[in-house]
Amino acid sequence: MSGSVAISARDLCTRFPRRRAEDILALDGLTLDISSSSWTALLGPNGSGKSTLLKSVTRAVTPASGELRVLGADASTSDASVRRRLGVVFQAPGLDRLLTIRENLLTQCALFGWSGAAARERVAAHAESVGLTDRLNDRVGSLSGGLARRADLARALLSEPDLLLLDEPTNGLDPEARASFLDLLERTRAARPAMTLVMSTHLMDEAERCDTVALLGGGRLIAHETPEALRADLGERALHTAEAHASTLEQLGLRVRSGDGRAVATGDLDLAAHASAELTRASVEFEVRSPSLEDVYLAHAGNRSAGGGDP
Amino acid sequence: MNAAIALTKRELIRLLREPTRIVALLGTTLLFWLVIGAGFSGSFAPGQSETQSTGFAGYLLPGMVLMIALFGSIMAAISLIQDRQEGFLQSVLVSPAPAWSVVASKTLAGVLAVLIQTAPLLVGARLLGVEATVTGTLLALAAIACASAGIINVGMLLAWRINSVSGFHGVMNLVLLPMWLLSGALFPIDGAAGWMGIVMRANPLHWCHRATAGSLGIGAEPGWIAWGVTVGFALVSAGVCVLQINTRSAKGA
Repeated sequence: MSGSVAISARDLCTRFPRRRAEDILALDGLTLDISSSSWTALLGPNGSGKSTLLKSVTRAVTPASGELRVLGADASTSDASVRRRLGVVFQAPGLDRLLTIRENLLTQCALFGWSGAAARERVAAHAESVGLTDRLNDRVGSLSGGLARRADLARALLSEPDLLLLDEPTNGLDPEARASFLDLLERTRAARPAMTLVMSTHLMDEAERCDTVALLGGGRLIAHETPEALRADLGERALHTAEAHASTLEQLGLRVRSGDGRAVATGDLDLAAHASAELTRASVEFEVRSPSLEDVYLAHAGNRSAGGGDP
Repeated sequence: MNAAIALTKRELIRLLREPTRIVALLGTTLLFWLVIGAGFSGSFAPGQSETQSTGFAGYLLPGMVLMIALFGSIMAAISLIQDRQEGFLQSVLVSPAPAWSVVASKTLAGVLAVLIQTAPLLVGARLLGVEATVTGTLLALAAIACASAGIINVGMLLAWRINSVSGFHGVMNLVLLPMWLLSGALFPIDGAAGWMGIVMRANPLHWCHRATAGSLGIGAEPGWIAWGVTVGFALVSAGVCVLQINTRSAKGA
């Protein structure tokens, strides 16, 4: 699979009709290629189209136009053979809370056609890989959010998928459970290097762990690079101050994006030093640091973050 | 087939792990038995032809059984909304499991629960003066199973498009309850006004009621139309349901 494309979207448009109001255009001509065996973050604010893209890949929503190919097959006509190669971790765990982890995983095995000893072995192996061997007989409803997430990951990995989709998988987890889940993902990836991971998130530290970041905004692709390349595009320094000083910074030659009361100006070391001196002279509060992915996010999408949740 | 069996097993495990559902399941049967046996039997004097052989309590029996089937089936359909809200449905829909396995599991588990509820009433029908044969009782159970399957499938078709359980209740009151009211469960079709008679004849539950009652020896023989519509209701609604779920879009995941 290496070198090939796991997901290819061309001019993809997805609409959600609304009564007595204009349709929501969740994807607005999105064009994006995600390489096989990569770990890609779909990064963007609420309503940017991250979840809709994942739902289009799983055929939970049908695009209005454009082309979408998943693992080489046309997503509009792909059948069970493609679904067999997909694993999906949703925002809400896809497990039955009244069943034990074991019962859930065995049910999932049956959905893929495995039963008996083969299913039991698969369940045991994947429970071990996510560290839940001793909790297999616990009902999902009795688990903490972090453990339920791990069980859900085991469910998604049962079929040993070529493409693992994760839709904001750490939503609702406390910091410790979140870090633990992300570490688990990295271990999973190390164990299965050929697998492609696509994870939607709006958290910068999660995106930093990925090979590439596809920055989405307004249903379109804004940028798609490695985290390092995205940061390098901004320059060597990022200067944060109040939105009221945006025009001053622009006049000093920096690239400025502003919104929500704040401004982020980026540029090389000399420009940043000059701007810092000017702001100090004017007694303006500011902060200078190396550009982070958050700066990239704000620089590209700072003015696009208004709006509701992902459709 | 593995998927259908596993999903049906899951439905049954869920049923057994919810004590309130078990109590409601058996309590409803007991309640209806008491109402029919102690309440109606002495309250109404037989008059019309259909009630002459069994009394009004006997006449009501198939309708009450159908009502239990209606409510039991509605619960099965509502579980589709719960599955969606809890996230389980989406994991099924992105798997390679065929759409029919979802429909089959909901239908089989729902029908089984309905049969557990209704069988004691039909087996004990003799106590209400209904002289049903063993074959007749089994045929009545088959009719109830078909009616239940049909209601579950219609319910799932509605539930597929409805986001909330409360929203489903509204549609239930508007669609499913009137289907029962116009099934002949409360009054014979002969006594209905002209237009209502037409509506009743177009209602598949009327024929399910007729197949149930006829099998128990209450009223006229069911005839092939009643059986055809009863079995057809179950099969056609299941087919439409599979087609609906096969789209895997809408509000499925």
